[in-house]
Amino acid sequence: MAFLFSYLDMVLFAALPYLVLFTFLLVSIQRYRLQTFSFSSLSSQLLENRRHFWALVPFHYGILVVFAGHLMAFLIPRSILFWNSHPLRLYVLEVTGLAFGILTLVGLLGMVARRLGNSKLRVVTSRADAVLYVLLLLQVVSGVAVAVFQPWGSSWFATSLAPYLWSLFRFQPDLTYITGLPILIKLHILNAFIVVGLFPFTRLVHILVVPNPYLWRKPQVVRWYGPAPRDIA
Amino acid sequence: MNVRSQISMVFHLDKCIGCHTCSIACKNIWTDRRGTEYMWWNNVETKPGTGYPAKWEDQEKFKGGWEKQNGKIRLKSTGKGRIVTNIFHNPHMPSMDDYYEPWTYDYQHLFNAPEGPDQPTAKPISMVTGDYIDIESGPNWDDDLGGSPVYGKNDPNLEGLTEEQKLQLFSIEQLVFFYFPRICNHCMNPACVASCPSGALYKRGEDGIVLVDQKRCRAWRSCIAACPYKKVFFNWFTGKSEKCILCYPRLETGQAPACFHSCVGRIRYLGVVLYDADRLEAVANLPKEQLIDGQRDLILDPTDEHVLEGARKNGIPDSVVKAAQESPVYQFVKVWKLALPPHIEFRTLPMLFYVPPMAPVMANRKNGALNSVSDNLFHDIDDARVPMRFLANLFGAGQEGKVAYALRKQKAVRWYRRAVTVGDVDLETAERMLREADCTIKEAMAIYELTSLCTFEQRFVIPPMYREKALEALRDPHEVKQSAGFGFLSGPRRGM
Amino acid sequence: MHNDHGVVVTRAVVSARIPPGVCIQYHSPERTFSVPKSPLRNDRRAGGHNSLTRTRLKPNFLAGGYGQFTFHFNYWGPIGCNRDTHILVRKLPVLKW
Repeated sequence: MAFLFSYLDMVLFAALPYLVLFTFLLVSIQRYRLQTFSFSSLSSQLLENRRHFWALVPFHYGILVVFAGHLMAFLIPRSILFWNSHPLRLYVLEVTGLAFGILTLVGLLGMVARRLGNSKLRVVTSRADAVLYVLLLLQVVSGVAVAVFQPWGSSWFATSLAPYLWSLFRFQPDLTYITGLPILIKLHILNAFIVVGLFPFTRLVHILVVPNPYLWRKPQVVRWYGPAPRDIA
Repeated sequence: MNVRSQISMVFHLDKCIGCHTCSIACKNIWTDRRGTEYMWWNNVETKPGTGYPAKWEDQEKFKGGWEKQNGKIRLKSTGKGRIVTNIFHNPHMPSMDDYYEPWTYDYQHLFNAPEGPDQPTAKPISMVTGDYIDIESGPNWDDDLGGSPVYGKNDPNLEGLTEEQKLQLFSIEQLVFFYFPRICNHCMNPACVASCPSGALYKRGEDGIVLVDQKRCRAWRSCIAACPYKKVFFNWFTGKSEKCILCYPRLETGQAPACFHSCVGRIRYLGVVLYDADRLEAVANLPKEQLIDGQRDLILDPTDEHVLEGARKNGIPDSVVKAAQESPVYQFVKVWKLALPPHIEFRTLPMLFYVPPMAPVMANRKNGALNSVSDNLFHDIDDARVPMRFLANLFGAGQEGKVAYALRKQKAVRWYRRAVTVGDVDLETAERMLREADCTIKEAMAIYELTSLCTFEQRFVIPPMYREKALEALRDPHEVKQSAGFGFLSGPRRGM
Repeated sequence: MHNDHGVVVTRAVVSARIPPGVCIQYHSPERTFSVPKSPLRNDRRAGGHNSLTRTRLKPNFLAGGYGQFTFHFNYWGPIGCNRDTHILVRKLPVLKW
């Protein structure tokens, strides 16, 4: 039995990450090359404008902050641990994380309710969207549950998950860090891998095209087919 | 001087009969696809009215166009700092309710209905969901002043009118309306282009046509709010913005755009103008009262030696310069000063100009009779049935003088022609009118010719665009043979 | 719209162009689409275009099941219906197809 579990762990936490990362990179790049047109946030604001605000804004701000938190714990685990050495600062970090996690959840629930409650939006909801909503709900609910039932995540992420993730990137997956983790956290990690794997097949690709030169470019865009004269405006 | 060429347009509102042929021509060619059913790249509005989308001129509501702040202009809706916060939800974007929910009828029911006491009827169904809907509005719901207590009364251009004038505008046998056909203005300083986070919207350098790059559009929706004329639309199916393309595939092959070509009243003129791109920013930044003159000043005289030299330096072909010299737009806008830009106070410097309508102005009633004799030859313009204030709000950035000038000249030309052809107006009075309207006999004849007798070639002076050369230099024309839609190698479908 | 002669259910619009107390119907929608049933006619479909005005029938008009009189204004006649009559206008209480 124990052998079976360790085998399962191996497949899910040592092989799957590479599979999803490979899928993510290959499909994203190929989709951008061959299906450039399909890169769009597929906004539905035109069809429903009121609940759009109350769902989309909390969700996006929530997930941005939560994602930034995960990223920081991954990139600078030592600084996070140092920050957490003082209990008050640890509380601040935990409460902030939980608050934004709940904000994300509220926004996501709003998004699902909005989709289900409006006949026009059902027309523009594809099967991929439905799968995505289920996965995201699972991810956010499990994330909030982890924050509530497995507290001090900012610290144990830095001590056990960050090294595991780093080991993945060094192509020497070290499962010792995570085999002992509670099932809830494992579920959260596993689901994250699945989301990454399906990422390039869904509307999530709009995240990849967010960075844009808008803040730096000149206000007016002029395209010349022949040679451009002096570029002034 | 940085000389650029731009395809520009004039709509002669005095000739518009409101038949909507232009809208139908455009609809049939460009917006009969899924997701575009609600779009009317060309639409004809009744003024006074709220238009399409409802109240598009109300920039307190939609925050379109530019505004002056600390001596510089900035976008009203999407300042660079706000782009990040507005990207998830654009607070100023109109929703489909502001346009209308497109519908068709369930015609199949007429064939499939079970036997009953009545003949069956085809119920209206939504073209978005396919469900039965109760139609609440349409693209021309207020056509010919229909529903004027709701629509006409809420026209944003009524601002500044006295209560008495408003009352007159909506009372029986006093009221007045005219038609206002609209397409994309292909502005010199387009707000849609400036607002796009992805840089998907662009102005073509050679002819100034404003387009959306369908492959770069990511549905951030800034352009829809930023365009003060609400002429960028969101395709809810493909998740891309679309707008009037001035039928560039037709223009490139020497044909007039579909709405121009099909115009029954022959109200539409199209031609090239040359302008100075160096001074563009300064002109867009002028005080409101100077904007019209500033824009006219920006348009260059295509016969001037310096301009010709500048054009050569910037690589503008001689054929385009020649087209600019024959351009009807140049005559209407710059030489005769008859055509005025719509709402130039939005500071996008629209390149579609309107000759203000004469018809609702004339025939002012006094004491129950048509009042046409007076020492003041232009009295009917000064106390017109349509308050000058209203026309000035629409075409003059609030200045009545600009509109009055155009109307006086039009009236003088009419009276002069009447003196020549019918003879019941004496020539001396007509010539006096011309003088008072700042018009010579030669000019009057030219205006008359281009207004009344104009041929197809005079109305549409389309320059050769040499796009085949430019395109062939970049890629083999056979590469995109038989590809779909806008010329993609893959079809423009939704998502993956 | 109804009077002693019959009932027409159609879409109406209020406009400053029409004086109070007058209504004008100058387009004739086909009853094959978008014409609901009328409670005044015991929930039968309303919208025969000559319903509100009188028509003089000649014997040869009687052929064809009167379809020519219900399909459009004065469908048989030389010009469109331009008769004046007295009518009552009221909003359709419930939409019934």
